[in-house]
Amino acid sequence: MNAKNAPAIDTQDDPSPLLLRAVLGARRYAPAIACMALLAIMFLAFQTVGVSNRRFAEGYRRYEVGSSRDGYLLLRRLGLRGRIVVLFDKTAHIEQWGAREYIRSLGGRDESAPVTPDNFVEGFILSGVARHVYVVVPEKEWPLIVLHMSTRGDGIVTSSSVSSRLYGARVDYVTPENLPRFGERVVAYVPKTAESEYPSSFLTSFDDPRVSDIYVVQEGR
Amino acid sequence: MTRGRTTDAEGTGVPATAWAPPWWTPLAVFLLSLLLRIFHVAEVTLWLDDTALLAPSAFTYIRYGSLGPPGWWTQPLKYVLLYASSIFFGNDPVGWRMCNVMFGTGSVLMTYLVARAMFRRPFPAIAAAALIALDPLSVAFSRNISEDTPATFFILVVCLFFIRAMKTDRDRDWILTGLSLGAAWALRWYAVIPGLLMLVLALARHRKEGLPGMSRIVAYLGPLPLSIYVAAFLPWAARGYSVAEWFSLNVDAYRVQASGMEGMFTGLTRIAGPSRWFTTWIGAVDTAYRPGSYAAMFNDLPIWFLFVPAVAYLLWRGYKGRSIPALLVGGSFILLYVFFLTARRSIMLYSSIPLLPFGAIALGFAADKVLGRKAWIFLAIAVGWSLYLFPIVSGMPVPGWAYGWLLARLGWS
Repeated sequence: MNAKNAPAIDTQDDPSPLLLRAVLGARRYAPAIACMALLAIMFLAFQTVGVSNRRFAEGYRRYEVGSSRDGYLLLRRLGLRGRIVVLFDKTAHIEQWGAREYIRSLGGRDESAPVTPDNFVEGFILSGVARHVYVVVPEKEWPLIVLHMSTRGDGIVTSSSVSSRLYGARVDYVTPENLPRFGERVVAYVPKTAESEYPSSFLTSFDDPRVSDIYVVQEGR
Repeated sequence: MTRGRTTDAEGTGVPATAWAPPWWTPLAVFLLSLLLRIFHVAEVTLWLDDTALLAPSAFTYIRYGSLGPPGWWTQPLKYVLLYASSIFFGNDPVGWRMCNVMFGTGSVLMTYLVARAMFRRPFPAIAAAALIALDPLSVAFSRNISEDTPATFFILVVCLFFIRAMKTDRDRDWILTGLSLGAAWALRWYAVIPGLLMLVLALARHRKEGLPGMSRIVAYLGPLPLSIYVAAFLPWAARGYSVAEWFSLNVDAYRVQASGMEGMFTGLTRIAGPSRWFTTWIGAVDTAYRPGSYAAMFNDLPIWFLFVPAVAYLLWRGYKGRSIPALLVGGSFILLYVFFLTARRSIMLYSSIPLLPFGAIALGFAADKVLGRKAWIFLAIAVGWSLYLFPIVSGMPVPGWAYGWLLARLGWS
């Protein structure tokens, strides 16, 4: 009997051949399935390691500190980690000359950190407090920021923001109107000297437990 | 001498050998290369050496997950290797440099093994290993902590396992290909280029196997190495980052590199420009610690000049003989070089390091094929020439009259 004259097998009445075929078919794709599964596990592990290492404050707290050094030490002592820091100022305070001393200070000696008004946000990043910094620049300062960042080798200029990265952490310069909505509570950091540059209702919107868990006002430099 | 196989070598038209090298040849290649790389390792410092920057970054990355300073746009596996080297060999400059000493030595061994897997005749393998063992740029960059050297090692490991996988089609060989490709990606992005070439060659070979066969190849050369690449960023993830932020980091890294990064490479114009690699002396010289000794990094022009025609010849023979290993080696050389020629950012001389083993393999093959028995004379001359260059790479005191002409061409006054 050749194949043409063979009676058709009604597989709908007997599920086992279909199941068998499905299993055999899947086995042929086993390497592809295994490699895709490995990649998925790796992404899952990445996400889990990342998100589980973020440290937020319990509830909502508002602090006033006397200087950038006090601000740095405060955030370190609060045990914050992997956070979005929103800084309201016209500069990012990331002058990069104290990296080595900052790193040395991470072994539990925060007092020895080389914090200055020019580099305290660099300290936030190096110490792991900040994973992403938004510098909310007053509207009138925006052209200067664009000019400055365009001349840097590692600046990324888009239509709505100017970005760079420091030690892998993103530092985004934005105007108040281009500040995105955040999917998590942030650390708001407001130097008193820059407070008057922003509409008061804009700043007040961050002095809110739904938006931030820590709100720091820095009085001096 | 032992009796060898008598079949043609991978369709490249090279007659089969009557003898095979003895078992201890790879060991000898490794030890001789190690000797050349470890000699004066503590005394030679290249003027553009990033040791002072990268060594602290390795500790910062392993302990705190911070990328850099500097170079957040580069790939992080180098920090893991450097940290491991400091544990094995000591936390000091020699311990840090031993990372590249080992991977540079390993690259010579891998060059030998890849060529041996391709041709079965001893000459191309011995010639390629000798040329890379003594190549001044490869030696110089086996003494500092640039990631190009380990990246080259892993690219060669990938080639070796790929050639085996194409012969045996065993899952074990494909898995090892994918894992080493992932390690190479996590060191330098340009390792993607040989990976893509392998994918094309493997798919062409397995096209009749239908979707199951082709999906298997894509999985081993895509998701598997990508998993290793992602794993290299796990210390960074521990700083609170999500997968979306990881993608953003990689996109930003590409953007920065594609932007030209002109401000980053001021002062390096002497060694910039891949179009000159095979036609002009390029390099830079500094003094080593002893009077009258030098630490130079440069291209070995008389040898490198022969790489391009040799690669063209290998490709032609590989195309005629439908030899996948020959197309892989020749194609990787050409595609990597075209990538560097067309890259938007400045490309320095040290980026040529991954090309050199492919060029050396091609030259070994071409010399064997074209010169026959006289190829050994060519090799003796090439080795003699490279030994002449070795002292100004390795910080040995040299007489000015013997090297003045070369030092002048490299900009030393």
